[in-house]
Amino acid sequence: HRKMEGRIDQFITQLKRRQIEGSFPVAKETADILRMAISKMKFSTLAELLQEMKKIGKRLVDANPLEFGIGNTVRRIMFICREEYNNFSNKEAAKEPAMFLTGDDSEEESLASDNIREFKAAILTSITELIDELQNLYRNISDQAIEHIHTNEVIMTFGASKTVEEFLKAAAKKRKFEVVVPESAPSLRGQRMAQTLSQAGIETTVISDASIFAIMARVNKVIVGTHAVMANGGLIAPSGTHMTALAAKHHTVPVVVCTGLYKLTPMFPHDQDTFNDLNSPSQILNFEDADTLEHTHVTNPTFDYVPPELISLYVTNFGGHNPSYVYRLLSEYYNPEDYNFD
Amino acid sequence: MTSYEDSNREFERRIDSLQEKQKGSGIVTVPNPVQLGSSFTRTIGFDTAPSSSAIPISVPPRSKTPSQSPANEAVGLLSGSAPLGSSNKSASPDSDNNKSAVAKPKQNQKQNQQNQKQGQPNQQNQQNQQNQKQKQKQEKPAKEGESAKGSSRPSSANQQNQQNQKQSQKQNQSKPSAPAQFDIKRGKAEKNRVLDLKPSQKQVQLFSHLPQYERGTLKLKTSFSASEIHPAIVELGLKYAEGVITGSNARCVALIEAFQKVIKDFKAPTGVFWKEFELYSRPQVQFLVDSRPLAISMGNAINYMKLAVNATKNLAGDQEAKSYVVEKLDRFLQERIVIADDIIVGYACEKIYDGDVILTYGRSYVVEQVFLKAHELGKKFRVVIVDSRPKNEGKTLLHNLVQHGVKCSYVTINAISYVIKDMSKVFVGAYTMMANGNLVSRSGTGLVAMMAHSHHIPFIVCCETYKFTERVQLESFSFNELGDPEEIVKTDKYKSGILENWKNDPHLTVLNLMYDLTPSEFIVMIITEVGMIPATSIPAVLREYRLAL
Repeated sequence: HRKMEGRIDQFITQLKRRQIEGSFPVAKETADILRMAISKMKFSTLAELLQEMKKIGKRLVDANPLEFGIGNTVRRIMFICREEYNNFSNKEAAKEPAMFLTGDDSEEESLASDNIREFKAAILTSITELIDELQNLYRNISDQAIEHIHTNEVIMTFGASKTVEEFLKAAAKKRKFEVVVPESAPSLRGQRMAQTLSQAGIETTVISDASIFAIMARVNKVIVGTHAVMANGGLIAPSGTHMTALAAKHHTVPVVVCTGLYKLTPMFPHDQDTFNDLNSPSQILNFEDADTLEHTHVTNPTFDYVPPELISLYVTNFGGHNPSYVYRLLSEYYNPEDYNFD
Repeated sequence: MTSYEDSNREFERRIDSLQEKQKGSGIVTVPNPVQLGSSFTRTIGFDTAPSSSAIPISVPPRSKTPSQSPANEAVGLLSGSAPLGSSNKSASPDSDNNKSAVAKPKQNQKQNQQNQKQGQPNQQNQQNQQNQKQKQKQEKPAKEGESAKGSSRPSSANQQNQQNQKQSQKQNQSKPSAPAQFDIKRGKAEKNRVLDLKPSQKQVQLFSHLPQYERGTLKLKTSFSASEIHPAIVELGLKYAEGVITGSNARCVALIEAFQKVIKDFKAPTGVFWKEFELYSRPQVQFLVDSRPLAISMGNAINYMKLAVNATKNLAGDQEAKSYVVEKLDRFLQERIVIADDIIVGYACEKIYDGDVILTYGRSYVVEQVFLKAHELGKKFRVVIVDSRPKNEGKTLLHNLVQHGVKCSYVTINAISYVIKDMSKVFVGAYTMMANGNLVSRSGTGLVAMMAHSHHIPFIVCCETYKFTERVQLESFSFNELGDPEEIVKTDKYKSGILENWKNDPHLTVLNLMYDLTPSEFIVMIITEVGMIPATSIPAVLREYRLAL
């Protein structure tokens, strides 16, 4: 028990210090922690189990509320628990569609102790499957690459997404195309992306963020990754993605988002501020100028909200989807009662 | 303080002194042109001694082959001569000479045709008022080196003798002609090049029609000696190449000043000023082109200078001719740039209301003046400066505004979707305005315009009319300037960037675009010295306010 607590604490510290960042590593770590927690947990009803998980989930999410991967994984596992419970107790309730939000009293029923062991085993197997799904994420998405990229295309990407990198590398094995990468200041992630792509043998051109509108006239597709997919089909993506998507819309260039469905979040943003983080101005201005510029406000947002109208397609590990379909996927992965951890 | 600011203050003093002198005698003498920031001298490749007025200029004999000064290559197509309508302006006794001077003896093939074709209709107008002797004199040199292609001037000049008004009306419309592209005349251009430039190892294919050269030390070609290029021009070229002088206005102002120096120092060996100066100025302009492609504003200024030089044909004596041209350049500077800026600032300040939050991109001199003036007038507003790599020009603007107490915020361009919804309006400057209403300005302006448009925020351009061009363009590729790719690769003064070995990577290219095109539908209003006009009125302004002496 102490080992588990230690692991949770370590994870929380890493999250707070931003030592672990990015939806994928965070989701994996959360899944591992929950698997360990469930295997050691003592419970007799489903409600107790879910309560325990919510507590852990809340602690983790509070460490970094903008890492949606944490909350999503917790919710996903809670959904798995409910499903397994329904299968297990052979209730008619299993036949009910998930759209009904009636409180299920069956949760309160105690299970027999060896049932609990079997129940746990079933959950742990499912969680292992979930982790496998996360591991095979890139392969599943990259397999769809040649469907979407034809020869001699000019593709623009934004930011440094591992998913997009694997996607393009897979396509480059079969097709010849060019990639234009804006450097995405001030983090300059784009430059790193360009380097990895060019080392994989893909013809890459690095441009400055400012030239995006100019170059967009010659781009055939925009393929981006994202930090999170929101319930309305919109994106929380690295700052600068919105202007890229808008420029693409102006030039009628399709925007394709490559993402794993573990990033799907049951929350709704409405403007740029709902889920955002402002970084230090030191990335933009020098401290040497602080004397003269003490009254200057510097805004350095981390994320952009991209509304679903600007997106043409989601390429996910479960196939391609329209942004307007995303809300339906929510019901396959999450139960509405788990949306809130409080 | 930038050199342009120094120059600007000098200007205002010189304008005052000019005005005082004008009140006195009829002849205007020009005081010594300002020494262009001799504190900025950088010695790269060869010495740039501050110019002294006693340098003997030797003009080596030139062959008669029609070699094109690519000075025209990036030049605006504003015609050098005055249409009928503007003849009212030139009520001075010089008017006759102006009109006679327009026929250019300089000949060649494709590039000059653009000027010729446009010049022709108007030249023919003015020839109406000349005596025939002068006309015939012009026709002879005109015929000498004239190319077979397209130049129908001799024949039309003959027609001119017979018809008068009919032609003048028809010819008021300029014929559209394509400006020469860099890659088409590459062979000829190589011959004329003053600097020894090596094409860059890694060219961006998409822009192979634009010059892409290795950066580094500027070296004169072996066939040229340093004494052929006037030191003021050398200084200027180096400043352009190093990015010490940036911005359309600043570059043009520096150019005019430098050429005033050159003209003052020029001694025509055979005593005929306009002929000799014509030839002498070609390598000077070529040097500037080689250091950094000419801006359209600079091209227009050079055209104006050529007009003025040609107008000195009937002036007796070198001194008179030189002071005439120098005075004309002064007037151009004063009227089309300095006073125009004041008028634009006045108009723009009317559009700033209390409580406004104004967005601007990069650094435009005019927009900076607008903000300073509005702040002086006591308006309560704040400015959000959007900036981008690699130039980070907004930082200069930020420092200048903060010094004067204007409330500022500063963001990089990726954050524009975060800040745009609070904005009341957007002000930007221009590199040039195309005849079809499209704006060419610093790379990134298109993004800002698009954002403003999508959030229904007015996007306002401040641009003097001398920057307008008759060129038309639909996207940012056919005409652009490629900057130094190392600027993008270098991320920090002290550390080396991730991409520092990009040249060794066969699959990696770096592209640094300087300008981009903003479609006219994003532009709400253009503030010029002739008024606040919509983007659709640009051809009308071009027609009415052609460059004329």
